[in-house]
Amino acid sequence: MPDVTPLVNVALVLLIVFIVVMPMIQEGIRVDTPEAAHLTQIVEEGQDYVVISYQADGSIYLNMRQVPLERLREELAAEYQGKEEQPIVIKASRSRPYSDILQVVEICQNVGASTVELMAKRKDEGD
Amino acid sequence: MSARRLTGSQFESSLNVTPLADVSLSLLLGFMVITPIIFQTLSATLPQGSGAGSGQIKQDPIVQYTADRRILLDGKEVTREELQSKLREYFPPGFEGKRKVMFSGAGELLYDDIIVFLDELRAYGVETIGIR
Repeated sequence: MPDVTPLVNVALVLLIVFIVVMPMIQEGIRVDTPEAAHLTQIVEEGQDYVVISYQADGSIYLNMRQVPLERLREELAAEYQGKEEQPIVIKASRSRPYSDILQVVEICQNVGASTVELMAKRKDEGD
Repeated sequence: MSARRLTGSQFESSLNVTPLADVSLSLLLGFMVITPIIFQTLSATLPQGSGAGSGQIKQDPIVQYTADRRILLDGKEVTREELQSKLREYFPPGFEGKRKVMFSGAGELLYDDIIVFLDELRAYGVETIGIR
């Protein structure tokens, strides 16, 4: 009978790594989003949403790839092709001026999005 | 437990870990497949086409949030309390599903201030927020 102990070791280590790393993968690009109490939850189950992250230092990421603002429209149009029914998720830093976010929203509108989802952290009602 | 015959009456025993391997690999696969990604968001709709040309959009109340943090409802300045009561007038009972406002915020404000304000609109019963 083959010795399966190393296989078990590897599988269990993978399992633990996956459990630990999964929240980080879910979070994607780290952004200090604003807080809000009346949020809705959208669940990504195979839809592969397009996420635009706008960090406090002004860097923009399309999913996990950094993109300069000048190229965002072009890159977003390519990424969003075939997903026109889906909303675009905007994950922007709370410390950016709203004009910056409006620019991104306008680009989303130009590529055909009818809805944007503005990501926020859930704030407890008591806060 | 399994035992392997060596020589004579000597036996070497080892734990059968195959079921454990099965379970852990299945768990691993299960985790990888079913873990959904959850976004917590405020939804905002975007006017399509020629925008203001649509009759529906014209009927929606327009809420503006100015750089000096004044609130304008259809061009008239209101306080937060007035905004809540006026929105209640706009959306009487039975309007569920149609409580939509168009929102315009000053670019000078921080995104944080805008989200706090949009959150208040949601608290006042607004279901759909359009950004213009």
